[in-house]
Amino acid sequence: MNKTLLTVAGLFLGAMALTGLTFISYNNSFVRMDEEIKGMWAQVENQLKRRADLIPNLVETAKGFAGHEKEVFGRIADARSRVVASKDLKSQIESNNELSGALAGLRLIVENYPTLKSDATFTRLMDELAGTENRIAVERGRYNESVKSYNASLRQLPGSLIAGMMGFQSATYFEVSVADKAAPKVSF
Amino acid sequence: MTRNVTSLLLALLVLASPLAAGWETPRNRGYVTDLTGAMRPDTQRWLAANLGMFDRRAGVQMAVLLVPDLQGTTPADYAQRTFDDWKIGSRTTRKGLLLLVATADRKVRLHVGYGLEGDLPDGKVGALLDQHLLPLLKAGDIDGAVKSGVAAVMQALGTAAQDSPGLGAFTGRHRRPPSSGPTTGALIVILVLGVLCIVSPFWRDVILNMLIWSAISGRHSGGSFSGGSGFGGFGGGSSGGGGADRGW
Repeated sequence: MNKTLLTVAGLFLGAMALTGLTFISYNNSFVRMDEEIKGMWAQVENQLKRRADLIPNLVETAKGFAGHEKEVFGRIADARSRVVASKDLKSQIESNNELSGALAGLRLIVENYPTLKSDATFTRLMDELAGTENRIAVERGRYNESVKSYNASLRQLPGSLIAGMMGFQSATYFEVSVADKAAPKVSF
Repeated sequence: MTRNVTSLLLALLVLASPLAAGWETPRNRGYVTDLTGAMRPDTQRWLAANLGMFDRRAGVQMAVLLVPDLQGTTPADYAQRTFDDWKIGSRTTRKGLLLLVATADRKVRLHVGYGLEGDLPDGKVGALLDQHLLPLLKAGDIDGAVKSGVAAVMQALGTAAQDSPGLGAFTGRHRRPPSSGPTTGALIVILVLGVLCIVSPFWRDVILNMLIWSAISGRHSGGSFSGGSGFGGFGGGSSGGGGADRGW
């Protein structure tokens, strides 16, 4: 009788300890991944900020050659101010996608201004812009990869139970808007 | 145990990712990898000698890659994935560069590693391509364009390219033991491993595992077998996507 009780108690304690350890290890891995995602997002943000910083110079230079393309420059300025003003992650992603679309408009009109296209300052700034957008793409890819593994582990058992209890929420992907991916339309 | 499972899964991911993307990054053959087969041997020697010197003197690892086409992707994407795969540049300084020329697509890109972003901002790279490569590329002189580009990059980073035939001294041929030494050694090792593979299934598994691991560890040391270039493999560098590209 006593022996059975001991065995049951022992098994119970063992199970508790095992559960506790599993809980802690999952919790810690979620914390680690969450921090990793934040770090990666900071890298994305750095590049997004760099792009926003490049734009005033770029627009000023382009205006000198193509001043009457007010619509294009207006759209870029609007989108840029929304990027600068955006605080939370979702609006940051949206406003930056909008800015990408506006910049695609600038690339289109460049073809109509050979002197602008061959201007050394403009070429340098466009190279910086292209490089920054490429860096955004690279960092975005790395960020999305870590979001993917984090979200997957949050949704799988037993992680999902622990995540639910501890209030871990799935992270947001940085998706490029459909409008940005599609080829820009040329209107005559 | 979990660690092993995780690393195995990671390894599978690494193996599967190029397949999922539809194309594989080219295998590295040293400082110069020419998949078009159109580069003249003297250009290859000049490049290998100067890039070897660049590596030893300035600590900059620069790879030149000639491909026929970009497999349908952008020059930046192609260069980024190849750069990540080859790990150009040392792990600590991350001073790596990749000059990618796609001859049929008529595209050229100079891709910059993290450690050189300050020395070679994108605008400067673009100007360098415009001045030193595009005129020659437009004239159809790909060999000349690559040489001129490499010389310009070296100049920009404070090392002068050398044209003298005495460059043999810098190729590393004389820094290493006579080339027959390592080759014979390698042959003996391969023979022994081969015999072990045939004799015992246990050893076969062990050796296969080792081969797989060395293949996915990213450090393609194939250059050391090619002999002559003094290329000791790239060092674990990475790129954030800097650089510029042009079409011609």
